[in-house]
This record gives sequence, C-alpha cells and structure tokens, in this order.
Amino acid sequence: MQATRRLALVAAVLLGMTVRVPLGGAAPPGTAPSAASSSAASEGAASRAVARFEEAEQARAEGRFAEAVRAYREALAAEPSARFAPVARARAEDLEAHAEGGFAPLLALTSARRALGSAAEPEARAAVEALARDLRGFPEGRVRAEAAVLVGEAWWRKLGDPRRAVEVLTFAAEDAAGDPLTRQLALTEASALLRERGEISAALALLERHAALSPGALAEVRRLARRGALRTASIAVLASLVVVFVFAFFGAARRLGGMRFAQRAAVRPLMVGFSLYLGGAAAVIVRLRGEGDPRPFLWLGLGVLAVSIVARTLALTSTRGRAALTAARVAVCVAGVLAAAFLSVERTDASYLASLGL
Amino acid sequence: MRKLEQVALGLAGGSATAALAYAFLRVAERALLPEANPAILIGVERSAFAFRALSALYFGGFGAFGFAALALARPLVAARLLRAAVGLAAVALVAQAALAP
Amino acid sequence: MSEDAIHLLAREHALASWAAVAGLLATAWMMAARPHRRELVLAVSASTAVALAISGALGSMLEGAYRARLRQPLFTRAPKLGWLFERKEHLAFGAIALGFCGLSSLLVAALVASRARRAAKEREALEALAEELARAGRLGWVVSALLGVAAAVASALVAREARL
Repeated sequence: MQATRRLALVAAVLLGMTVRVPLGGAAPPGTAPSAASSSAASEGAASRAVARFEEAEQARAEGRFAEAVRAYREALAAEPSARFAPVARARAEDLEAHAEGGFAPLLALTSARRALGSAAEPEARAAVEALARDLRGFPEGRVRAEAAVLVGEAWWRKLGDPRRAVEVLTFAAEDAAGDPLTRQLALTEASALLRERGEISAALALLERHAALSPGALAEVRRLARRGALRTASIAVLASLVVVFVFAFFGAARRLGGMRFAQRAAVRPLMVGFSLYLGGAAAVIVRLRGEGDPRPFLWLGLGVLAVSIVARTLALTSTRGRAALTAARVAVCVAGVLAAAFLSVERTDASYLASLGL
Repeated sequence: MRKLEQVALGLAGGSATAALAYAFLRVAERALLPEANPAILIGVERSAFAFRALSALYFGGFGAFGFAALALARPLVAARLLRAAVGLAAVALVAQAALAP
Repeated sequence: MSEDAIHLLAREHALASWAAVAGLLATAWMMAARPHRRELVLAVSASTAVALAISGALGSMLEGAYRARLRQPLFTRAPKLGWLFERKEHLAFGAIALGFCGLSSLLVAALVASRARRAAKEREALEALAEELARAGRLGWVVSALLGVAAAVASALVAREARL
C-alpha cells in the first residue's frame, strides 16, 4: 500500500511537470480575448490553491484534521501541479489513514506528543497517563498502535516506569490493525526492554509469537538465550567440581597421611607452568597484535589450572584400573575446561562468542 | 630423566610442534581467510607472517609441555614420538609450501 | 627505517642466512661422518642455531619493508617469483624451528650419553668394590677357618694331658 502511494506521488509530480498552462506570449488566431481571461483565471486558481494549502497547514497544526484534509484536497483540485502538491497529497493521505474515530484519537495522540516534547514532567506524565487510559478504547486503526508506542517509549525512557512500558509496547505489537512498521518497532522496543531487565525468556516468547515481524531480533534473542543456558550449565559444572574437589582432597589427605602431602601431590609444577603459559602467552600475543581483550585468556589459564588440580586430586583418590571411573573423571574434567573457557570469554568479552553463534 | 634433559626434550618437542602448527595455520588461513591478490594489494598494515609465526610458537609451547610431561613418565616413547613429529613437520611444511603458499 | 639501514640489514641477513646454510650442511656432514664426536657435533650445531636465530631475527626486521615496498611490485612483475618468496618464508620458519629441535635433541642425547657413561663408570666401580669386599670376606672366612681349626687341634692336644 505504501509503495502504491509513493508511486502515485511520483506520477503526480511527473505529470505536473509536463502539464503547462500557457502564460502570455502569442495567442492562437481568433482566441485573443479567451486566452487573456483563461490566464487570469489560472492565476486566480493558483493563488486560491496556495491559500487553501496554507489554511490546511494551519488547521493541521491546530488539530482540526478533518478541515485540514478538506483544505488539502481542495488545494490539490484547484492546482494539481503546484509545487506543494506532493506534500499536500502525502499529508492528506496520512491524515485519512489516521481518521478513525472522527480524528479524536489522532488529536489525543498529537496533544500527548506535544506535552511530552514541551511540558514539565508532571504535565507530561498526566498527558501520558490520560493517553494510556484512552487508547484501549480507540477504534481499530493505526492510531491505537502508534499511541501505545508513544506511551511505552515515554514510560521507558522519560518517566522511568519500564514495567508498564513492556505491557503497552506488547499491546502495540499485538495490535493486528496497526501499521506493520509500527508493530515491528513496538516489538523490537519491547524485546530490548525485556533484555535490559534480564528477562530473556520473556523476550524470546514475545518474539516467537510474532516471528514474521522481526526475524532479526528473534535470531539475536535466541542467541542470547543459548548463551544464558550455557552460562547456567557452566556455573553448575564448576560448582559441582568444587564439591567433588573438597571430598576428593580430604580422601587424598587421609590416604597420603596429611593435607600437606595431598596438597603437594595435587599441585604439579608442570601443570602450573602450562596453565600460566596457556593464559599468559596468549594474552601477550593479543596485546602485541594491538586489538582484542587479553582478559579471557588470563581467566582461561586460571580455570585450566583449577580443573587440573581437581583432576589430579581425583586421580589420587580413585582406585587404579577402573576404566569407567577414569572415563567419568576425564569427561568431568573436559566439561570443566569447556565451562571455564566459556565463562572466561562470556564474562570478559562476549563479542568473541558471536562468531560461534553464542 | 633429569630436569635439564626433560626441559631440553620439551624444547625439542615444542620446536617440532611449532613447525607442524605453522603448516596447519597457513593452510587454515588460506582456506578460511582468503587474501586478496598480492599484485593489487598495496601496503598491508599488519604482518600476517609475524602473527602466524607467533601463533605457531604459541602452539609449539603446548607441544613443549606435552613432551616434557611424557619425558618424565616414558622417555623412550617421548624420543620416538619426537622423531615422528620431526618427520611429520617436514612433510607438512614441504606440502604446504608447495600446495598452499 | 632509512634506505641505508634497509640495505645494510638485507646484506647482513643474506650473510647470516648463508652462514646458517653452511653450518647446517656442516652439521649434517659431521653427524654422518663423525657421529661419535658428540661434543664437536653439538658445538657445530649450537653455532648453526645461533646463525639461524640471527638470520631469522634480521629477516623479521626486514619483513615490514618487504611488505611495504617490494611485495606488490614483485607480484605484479613476476608472480612466480613472488610466490617463490612466500614459500621461502614458510621454509625458513621450518628450518629455524627444526634446527632448534635438532639442537635440543642433540643436547638431550649428549646429556643422556654422559649420564650413561657416568653410570657405566659407577657400575664398574661398584662391581670392583663388590669384588674387593667379596675377596675380603672370603679371606676372612678362610683365615677364620684356619684359626678355628688350629685352636680346635690345640685344644684337643691339651685335653689329652689335662681336663677339668
């Protein structure tokens, strides 16, 4: 529909450029008296058209929308090829598209917009509250969704009430009578607000209900949801490794005759050296390259050291030759290293994860 | 195995690993990050060679620790593995230089 | 870097590289012809490794100037030579890495051989000690036996004349 309107406007401008009313010059023979009178008539029509256009603009600014539409149409009828014709046509069509309820909802929206832009906070808040109450009763059409977006933006960004903003932005996104672009804006704003509040699952549910409106935002939130799930799993793995380590350390201390012996057996110099090299050397290379954050590598090195100490302590306690236990120990430690790697990147510079779809 | 022997064997293993890693890194670079035609590329800021060499040395360090750990437990196995690593690195480097320079 | 500095570096790099090549060939010849001269082979390979390191360091210093001034014109004029130079960089890295690998391996071999020789000497000394100790023991036992027999015979002889 938008495209058709734009095409009509362009055609009108081109037509206006080709149609010319002859002004002065040699008149065809036998027509001298009617050419002069038609020239005067066309000049009169042009000035009437300009006057009506200006009246339409005034009416529009003052909220007399019905009158403005009439004036725009009359100006266009009087002078279809005038310079203001594209503007007049666009404004008339826009007003007609927002004409539901006899322009009353549009008037309420415009007043609230004006109050938000110029008034002090108490007045702006009162205008937004009034619009929020009234918009639920607006008839179906574009204005209802646009009013809901205005209210939502105002509560979120200006009036500091994000909870209410989510509700009304969701209402705008779900309004089937609203303009698709307005609904898309409402949807992305609502999901951004939910993400800001850490409610990723709520944002995902909202976007999935209206997947066709904003597929880009949906893909982004799905990625964040995956990242959140991995974060939870990684923390759980590392927490369980801590518990396992505590039990294993006391078991090893009992077996080796004291905590000092267990500590000495669990912390191997080669493993410490490797872990420090893993993190430190990578951090140095990243710094030499000049871009990128070295912190994930430093945390990774420390994480690997911690997991290796747990693995070594478990090895000190478990009975040799039991393949299933060995395999389980290896699996737990691999999971521990992966969890440490994920958290070290996610907590310091999550942009590294984007390339992995996380 | 004594400490010094362990360190030297680790260094030997690390050097072989670095050479092997260099060949793999160059092949991966050619496959995943294709460079523009050098005949039309004027004045590249960063040295891809320097970064690749540093990265190869970094992975060589992993090999060094691995060989040092193995040398402590099974020195003969470590020595045999070292010979295999040197041979593999030589073949990989020559193949990479020939096919994916 | 000034023009003069670049030319100087390029000359030094060429010299160091050829010195390293000569050292590599010498090391290879020595390992084939004089494998028992472990210390000499180790000394020659250590010198070669130093030449390799100097050559590599000078090459790294020149790499920026090559990339900025020479690479693109070289690939425009003679792409085959350009790719040949790329190959040279890869092979040079390999030569340096495997050269140090060879040096470290020879060092370990020398240390282990020295330890084996010391262990062999220690084994010989221990065996000699054991033999000496056994000889001393054997002598002790023989003398003890002889003395014991003599004492027993004397006792028997006295017992014929007087007893308690």
